[in-house]
Amino acid sequence: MPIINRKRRTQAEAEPSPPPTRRRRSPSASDASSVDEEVDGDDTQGGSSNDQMVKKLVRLALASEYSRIPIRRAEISAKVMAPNTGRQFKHVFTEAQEQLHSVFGMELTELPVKEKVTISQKRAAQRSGTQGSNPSKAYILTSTLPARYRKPGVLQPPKIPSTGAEASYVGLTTFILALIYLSASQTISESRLEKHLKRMNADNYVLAGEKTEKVLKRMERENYIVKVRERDGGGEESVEYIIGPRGKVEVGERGVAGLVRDVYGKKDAEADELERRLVRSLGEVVIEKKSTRNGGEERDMEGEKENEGDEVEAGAQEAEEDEEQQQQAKGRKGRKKQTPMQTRRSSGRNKKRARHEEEEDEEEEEEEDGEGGEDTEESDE
Amino acid sequence: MADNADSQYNNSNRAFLQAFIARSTLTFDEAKPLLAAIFTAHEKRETFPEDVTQADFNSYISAANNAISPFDLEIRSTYHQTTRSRIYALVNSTSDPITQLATIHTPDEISFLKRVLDAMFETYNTPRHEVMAITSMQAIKLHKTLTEDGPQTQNGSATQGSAGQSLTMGQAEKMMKTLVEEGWLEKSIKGFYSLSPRALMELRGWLWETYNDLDEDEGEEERASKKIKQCFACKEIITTGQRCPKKSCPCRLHDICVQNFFRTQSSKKCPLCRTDWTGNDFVGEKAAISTQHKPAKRRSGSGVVARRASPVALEEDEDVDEAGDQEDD
Repeated sequence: MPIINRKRRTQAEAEPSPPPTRRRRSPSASDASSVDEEVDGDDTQGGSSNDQMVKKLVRLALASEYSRIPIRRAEISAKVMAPNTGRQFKHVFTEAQEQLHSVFGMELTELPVKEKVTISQKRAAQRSGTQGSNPSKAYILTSTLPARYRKPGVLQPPKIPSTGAEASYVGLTTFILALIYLSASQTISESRLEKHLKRMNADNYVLAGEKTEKVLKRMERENYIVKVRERDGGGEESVEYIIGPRGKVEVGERGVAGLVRDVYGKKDAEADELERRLVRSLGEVVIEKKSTRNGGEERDMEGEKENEGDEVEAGAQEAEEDEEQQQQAKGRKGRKKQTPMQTRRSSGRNKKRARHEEEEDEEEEEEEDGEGGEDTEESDE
Repeated sequence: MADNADSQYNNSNRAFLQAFIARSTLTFDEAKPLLAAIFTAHEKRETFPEDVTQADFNSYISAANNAISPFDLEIRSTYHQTTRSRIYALVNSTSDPITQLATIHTPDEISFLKRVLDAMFETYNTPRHEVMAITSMQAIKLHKTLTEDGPQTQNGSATQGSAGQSLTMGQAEKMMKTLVEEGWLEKSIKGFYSLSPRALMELRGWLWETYNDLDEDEGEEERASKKIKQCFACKEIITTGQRCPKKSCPCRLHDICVQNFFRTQSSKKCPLCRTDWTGNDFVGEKAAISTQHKPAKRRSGSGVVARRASPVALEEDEDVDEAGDQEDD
């Protein structure tokens, strides 16, 4: 077939690369062209090639975000910077940031370094003397728009693969991050997470029939969460999830607090109590500017740590239950705590069977709760 | 006007751009609630979707276009080939290794997509049947890479590492579904997949170059055998519509363009070769449907059997009626 020796391209590349003489306009919003060339030294790069690199960096940032890949400093050097222009990196980067900000309302945010959690990791870090101080040199795009623009009506989840699927993914991710954030020392064991997911009826399948396992892998791959395996002295392996760098940047304490506030939606006195508990669990960052509270709980966080754990964990549990409640369209208040019947659910079932069971046994409230669960979470985003 | 909009480029424009990137295509109707939400946030008072005007939309599109053109991004618009609604898409106007990252698909999936496109525009796009669409069954059959079908004869194959691995039939089926969800393909009621307006916009140059790359010095005859054709009236790529009954004539018209076009003409004749325009000769899936009733003929090989044998003509007429009914909906 003659098809074979045709140029093979992907969708992203619609047209042939234009010659280097392509048009180059700087948007009037920023003074891209008025860059000073104080950096050049012996590598004589004109302003035009600087612009070219800025443009490439912006395109790289947009393209990488599409598949939620952070861009690394090394990648920028390889793909964006012309040979021997390493010293202009800072200049190009700043300029690209400016362009991203003025045109797209976005910026590159450096991801926090992955935490050294396991003992072996910590030891390795100590040996190499790189304890925590190194920047990650990996960046993701974040929106710089003021909060009032960040409404579902404006910024809906991306259409690829589909708005619904992305919404439920983002919803479930936020939910899991909330669980981790609100757990003792911000780590959650695999079994505990599984238990939570089970109550959401999301322990096997979520997100339009995708396997939970696969979705968790994706969250891991996209750096929302980090899975930590550690063998303790007795050879027992423990698996914990902690918050990943992207999770910290994209959701963070504030995101979690927002989720909890939305779910509880309490008024007046109760709201104060809720805020107090949020600050205790997540820290002062979650205090909202216009909040009437004066952020009074100035206490030694270290000292509180021990019993904080239990309380917070209970909080997480409650948050989850409330969330389920919210999902049942018109909140059915005061539902009972989980009953032993939970254990009756075989692990291998899927949603269809769940629906079936539900018909058989109308009293199984939890069944309904889990049903259709993740889809409604998007309202929290 | 553009300059004016550009100088006032602000957060509402940025929000519009971000929303556009997330949605990848927009119609005016879709843009109304979006712009209303943005105006509401921007002016801090409620704006309703019905208050958004076409002029608002146009000015946001043009401001965004001005802002993104330095990055080789572009908002293009086209009319849907059958519904004629205007669709805007944010497309990448150049190709470079950097933007190849911008896909969530694996190289194997992309290579499958390439096979599907080849099938649409080569296998199922013959001078006699310009289907330019593919059924689910036909697509799934393409799940294997060409290399596995037999020894490679093309010398170009060596450079095509991206031919990659075969998909399973299940994966191929899922991929087709995903492509529809992502807005690259459209699936018709009769089960044919064809390129969506967005795909046509983004791939316009690529399709043209890939499937029409003929030598410059080829004559008039070659022009007729170009795989990708334009609508004579609106000049957009045509993958569904009507064609001149003369097989060698390259004249094609969208169903919707036909009405307007012949209104201004004295007679219903092909504007290029003056053959009477029948309206029964189709491009797109209707060209395939009219062949499905006569499998014996398809087997008999290409170009041997006269297509206009009477029983066939009858069947085709039935198809036309069917199609006519649908259009009335």
